[in-house]
Amino acid sequence: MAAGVVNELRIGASDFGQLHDHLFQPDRDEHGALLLAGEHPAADGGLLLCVREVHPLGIKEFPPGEQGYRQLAASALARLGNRAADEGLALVSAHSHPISDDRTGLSTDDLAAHERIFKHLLDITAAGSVTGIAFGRRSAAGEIWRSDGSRHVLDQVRVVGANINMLRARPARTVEVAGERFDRQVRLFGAEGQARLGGLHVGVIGVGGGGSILAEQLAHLGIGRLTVIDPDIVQTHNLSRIMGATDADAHAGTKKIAVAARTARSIDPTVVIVAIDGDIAELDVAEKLIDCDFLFLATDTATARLVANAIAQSFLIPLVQIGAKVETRPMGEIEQIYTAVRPVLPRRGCLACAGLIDPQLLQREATSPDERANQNYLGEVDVVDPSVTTLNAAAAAGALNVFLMSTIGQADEALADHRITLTREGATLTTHVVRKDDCRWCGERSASRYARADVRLLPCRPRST
Amino acid sequence: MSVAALPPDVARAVEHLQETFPGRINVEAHESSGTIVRISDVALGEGWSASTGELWCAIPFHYPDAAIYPYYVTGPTPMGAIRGGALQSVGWRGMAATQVSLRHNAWDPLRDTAVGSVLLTLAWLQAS
Repeated sequence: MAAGVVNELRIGASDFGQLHDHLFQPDRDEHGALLLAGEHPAADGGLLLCVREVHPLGIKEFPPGEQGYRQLAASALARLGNRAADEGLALVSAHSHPISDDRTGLSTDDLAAHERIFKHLLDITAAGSVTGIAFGRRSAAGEIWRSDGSRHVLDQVRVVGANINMLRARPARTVEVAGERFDRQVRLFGAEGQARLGGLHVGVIGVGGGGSILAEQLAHLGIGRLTVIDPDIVQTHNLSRIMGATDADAHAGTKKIAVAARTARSIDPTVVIVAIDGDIAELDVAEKLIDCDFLFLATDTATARLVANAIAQSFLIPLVQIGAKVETRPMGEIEQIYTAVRPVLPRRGCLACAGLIDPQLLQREATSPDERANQNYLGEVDVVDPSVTTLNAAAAAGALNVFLMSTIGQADEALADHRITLTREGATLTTHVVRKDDCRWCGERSASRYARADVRLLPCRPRST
Repeated sequence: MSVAALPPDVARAVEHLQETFPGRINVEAHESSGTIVRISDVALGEGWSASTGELWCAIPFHYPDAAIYPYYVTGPTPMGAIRGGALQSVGWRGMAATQVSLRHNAWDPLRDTAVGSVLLTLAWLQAS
């Protein structure tokens, strides 16, 4: 396996809370659970496992063992192995090392148990992998057996909630940030927080008025890798809003992604930038976001909302959607001016649950210009909405603070709520989105794509063959 | 066009249409939506210049999140006034067609289906 390749298990914070409460009970005994996870084999050889179901095991299904302290009962393995096979998911065995805190490791008994049962579990589930994890209270160590016969260390468990927490076999080494570039912000979140930012890959979908501010500020913060996606060019009417865009760009028809990349590099020459000239509705483009650690959505199309929301829920990637809107009455007078910051996190209610993905708009966006003209038989005139840089900046700043607080572990749960700020009134309205059980993206039911980690299920135009 | 090449939800919708209209479904690629379905030999009712025709619709790549709209009838043309002004003569993909502008305003991705939409549209056409 190549250097830098990561094998990761990702789990929503509420699922992890349930798992942790079961594994670390007041009896201080060892407890076990089986997890069902979607699998995404990355192009670089790494494996991403996204936890979809947590099944705590009682004493009958995790009894005292004959060859170790405890063992998984055959009944549990059969029950959940068959369920994994039916659902197309991989099986993950989890148990606690109750006296371990921020360091843990697989014991020789654990590894011997893998030798005894993992081959059979691969057979029962027909999945690409089976994984065993030992959890300390603040640590995790695991081993992955893949169906090709290879075995790998599980590098990390990522808990995705209002805060993003990483569990590893041992604490990350203490780091020092060289130089003065980040001196002032390190005083807020420390060298470890800065190192965490430097290790992040962040995706920005749309680098117009709002997205260009996001890209610029992310470079200032010192993220390690930035992917920007936009199919459009800079035009003169964009110059009042796109950070870094010049008259020359408007005359030359420079791509917005090129301006975003140039601006970010001018701030921090070390940031690695992937600039994608394309539309997130295309599967080839959408799948490039899957190895991001965090996503921002800064376009106003329903299709982009749908696809970004799907990626966030299918691969458990935190997403924040931003918007700025000036609503006018038919005669042109202003009805409302507001900015929106909408985080999307696992099992918290998604953009679809919030009613923010319009089936009619999706349909309209999938028509050709001629069809759109035919369908506009009532002769409605396209209205160009007002757009002002200060509104974009307000939304972008709100979203960036959600990102920053969650990354450095300072986010309150309430920060994951949707926020509408009424610009004229200075008032903020907060909405806690309630997850719908039957949601196609984040719901509990079998048909939901939550944590399935399957690129083929993204609502995108298929690859051209 | 092979059903296997379609997004899973679209492929399932096409299979359901094939079960509902056996031997009468033709699937073509469409540059914007992804998939066009043609249903041959559909009964149109008495308000048309011929009693049967072809009904077409696009199934967008993000179906069922996206609604199905509009439909097109090729072959016969409507005679006289059709209720609600929901029919327009248009040029579509190089053909003369009647656009059926019946929008599912309350489209629900969890409950509405392509087959249900087609059957509703046919019932409306036949009753017009």
